[in-house]
Amino acid sequence: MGNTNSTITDILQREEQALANYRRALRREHQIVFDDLFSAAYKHRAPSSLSKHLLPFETFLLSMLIEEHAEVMALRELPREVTRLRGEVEYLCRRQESFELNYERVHWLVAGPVPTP
Amino acid sequence: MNEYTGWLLDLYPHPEWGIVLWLLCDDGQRRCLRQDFPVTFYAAGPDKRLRALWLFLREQSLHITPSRENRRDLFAGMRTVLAATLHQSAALPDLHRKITEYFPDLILYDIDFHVALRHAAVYRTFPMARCHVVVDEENIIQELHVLDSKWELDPQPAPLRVLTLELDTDPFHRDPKEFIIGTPRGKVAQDINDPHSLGFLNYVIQKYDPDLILSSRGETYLLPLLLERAAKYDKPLQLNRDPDSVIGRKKARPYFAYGQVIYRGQQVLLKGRLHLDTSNISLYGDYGIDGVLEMARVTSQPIQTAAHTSPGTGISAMQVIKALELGILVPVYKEQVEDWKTTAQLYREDMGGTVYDPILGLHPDAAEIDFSSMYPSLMKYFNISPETVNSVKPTAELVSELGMIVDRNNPGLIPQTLAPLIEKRLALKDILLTLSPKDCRYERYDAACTADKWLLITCFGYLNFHAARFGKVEAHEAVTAYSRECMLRAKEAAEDLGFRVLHIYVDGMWIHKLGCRVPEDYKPLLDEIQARTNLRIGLEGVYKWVAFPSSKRDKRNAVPTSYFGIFQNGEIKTRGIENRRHDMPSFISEAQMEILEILNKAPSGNGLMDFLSEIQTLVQQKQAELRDGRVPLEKLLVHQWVSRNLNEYRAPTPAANAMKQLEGEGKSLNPGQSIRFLYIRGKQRARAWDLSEDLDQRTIDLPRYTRLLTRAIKTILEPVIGVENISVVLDKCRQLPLAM
Repeated sequence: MGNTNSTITDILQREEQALANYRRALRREHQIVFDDLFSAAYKHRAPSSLSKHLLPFETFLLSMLIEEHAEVMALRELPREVTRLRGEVEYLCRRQESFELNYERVHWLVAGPVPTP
Repeated sequence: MNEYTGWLLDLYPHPEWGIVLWLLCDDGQRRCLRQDFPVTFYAAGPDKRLRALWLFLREQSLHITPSRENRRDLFAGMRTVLAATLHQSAALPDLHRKITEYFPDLILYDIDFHVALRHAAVYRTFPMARCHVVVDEENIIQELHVLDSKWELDPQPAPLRVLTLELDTDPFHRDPKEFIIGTPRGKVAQDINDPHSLGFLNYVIQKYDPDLILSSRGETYLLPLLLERAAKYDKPLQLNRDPDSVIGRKKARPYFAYGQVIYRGQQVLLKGRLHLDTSNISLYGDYGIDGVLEMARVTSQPIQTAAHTSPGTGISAMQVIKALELGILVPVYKEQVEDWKTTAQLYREDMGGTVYDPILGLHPDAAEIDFSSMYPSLMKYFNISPETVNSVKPTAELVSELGMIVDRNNPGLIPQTLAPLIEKRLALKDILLTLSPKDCRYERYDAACTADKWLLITCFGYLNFHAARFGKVEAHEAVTAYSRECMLRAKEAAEDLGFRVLHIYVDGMWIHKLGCRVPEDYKPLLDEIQARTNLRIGLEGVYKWVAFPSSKRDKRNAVPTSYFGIFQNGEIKTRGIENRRHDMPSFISEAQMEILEILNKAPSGNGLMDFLSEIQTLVQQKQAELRDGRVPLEKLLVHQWVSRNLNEYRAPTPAANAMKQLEGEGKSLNPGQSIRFLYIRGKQRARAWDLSEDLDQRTIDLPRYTRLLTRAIKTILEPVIGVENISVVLDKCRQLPLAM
């Protein structure tokens, strides 16, 4: 915030206010999307302010894009994460099988065959 | 000739000539000394007008020696001025008023500040300075030497004799019946309406001869009342130690500072001894008597003045002294205006500090680091001063980070003023880090450190203050520009070393890295930031966990100014949440703190859910206490600052209604004063606490207090258990059987 300049929050709120009619005309399900996009712009107010861009709305759009793309990147990571987790599960299953086998062998050596329930 | 050594208690102009100094001598005597101390002021303007002023001064019945001199103006450089030396410093305020009236077109210098500041510039004196004086038979000072410095960390404390004056009750709530006089021997209560009480008070003051009268409501109620009675019964009250001087009175005055109206009650100023009203010192709660003495010490203002003035006036006094020492003219009014800028330039330069939006929720293993006295350090390190920023001197150069021209070769007035203060505060902070809070010295060091902190906080804002003599907007902008650059460098350094930046707020940064739980883990980062910014940065603490609650307006985002957390040593830190709000009833604040105390039992941020049932029981108890009327009314009181006069309120807010009720009983409140009220049911919505009639407890607005309680609980629990689970917990609390 400066002495004469408005704060970035004020500018963002004014832009949101200026689009009030646009929001009103949107369908209810898209109004939620609209609000979510502006919430993303609020999340990155500091970079918008520090950029000293003469057209701050462009930086707000960029903030919305960044949030969107962050989610895209997280979703892209998802299959890889699923594959990793699947591998981990398979490994644990194998470990368990080998443990059970070993247990049977050790038990047979020490106390004879494992009694069946 | 006689020689004395002791502490300088008071210094003020003598009505006839020179000045009066009171010395607390090493032999236990309190000595009143005199010193010839002529004061010089200057005027600049067209030659004709200066000639007219010369003639005007010659006509005055005062001992004035006029001359023509060349002196340095901080911005205009060397200029020819009319110098006038006056031997009666007490006559200067009157003379100033007359000159302003007859010569409004002249620029006046060195005319409107206390004689103590001039004395400080010449002799390096300050309140409670250790002085050695040589006096003649009439106690007139021939030589004066100051034996210590105002920057000393551990000055020898003066053996002050303290007398206390208290009332038996708050006069705004009920008429007091007695006042209590206290000395180290004990306390005596006196009937406030009995004329003999005045005689008794005089007797105690004469016998005990206190150096300091420490009162509560002394200035705003007790002393004005006693002085009025003394005049009525013709029994003069001998509060002054100097019998020739009259008791100084100053009217009450509200003023606007840092976005709020502050009310300063009327003042009763003594000569030769001090009077401090603890309820009329705005920062007394922050730093106590030790802080007041430190404020007076470093600013060289008389103690009673330093107690009443804002830190801004203190920093201004320090600048005046430095300017006098350097032979720079001190103007009465700010002369310089903002430079012309293009829109793009204004948009680029007119900015504040860096404020990020924190990452919502709870973060285990986090730490808080902050730059020590960031803005003053920037002013000192980069030589930012009104005369060095955008300077036209050949030594000035373009600073690429700022896109501004700064003269970094000639030390500026402001950096020179601040340098010793910054060093003193950092040294005090270092000492405090080595001391236990239980150490008897801790409180004194802490108070001094807080007083110095207030001065340093204000010095940045003063660069842009409309009435600051040495202020300029561009210097203010340069400080914030450097701060933004330094914070970005700090952020980059943290990210380069694998930390995640959770939040940045002006000079502080909250960071997280898995496994970093002890201060040593952060040492490489602190060194790296220090290397990249050249500023000192410290570790505020390592948190077990820190939480950034969501905004009330938008649950998806956090608020930059609100957070709470628990340090590894178990200390709880809260900012911007309900328990920090002065308008929140103490019952609500305490409930919030109790929840945090329960969460404090968890060894780390991962085990917090284990304490959920304990929190549920507590919430249930608090709700039951409220519903059954078991909460003392004092704990439900709401304190609010009155921001305007009653007739200026547009809507009938609870505070306005409470003010109206008080007005009906003849108790009016001024902007800046505090009002206490309870929320009640019905049209009025609030009931003033200071009404004479007792309150019917059944009228208390319980649903409103319950809502406040629920909101405070939600603030803490939402980041801990998640927004989606909070209603489940609160509903469960309502369903549980009530503890009786």
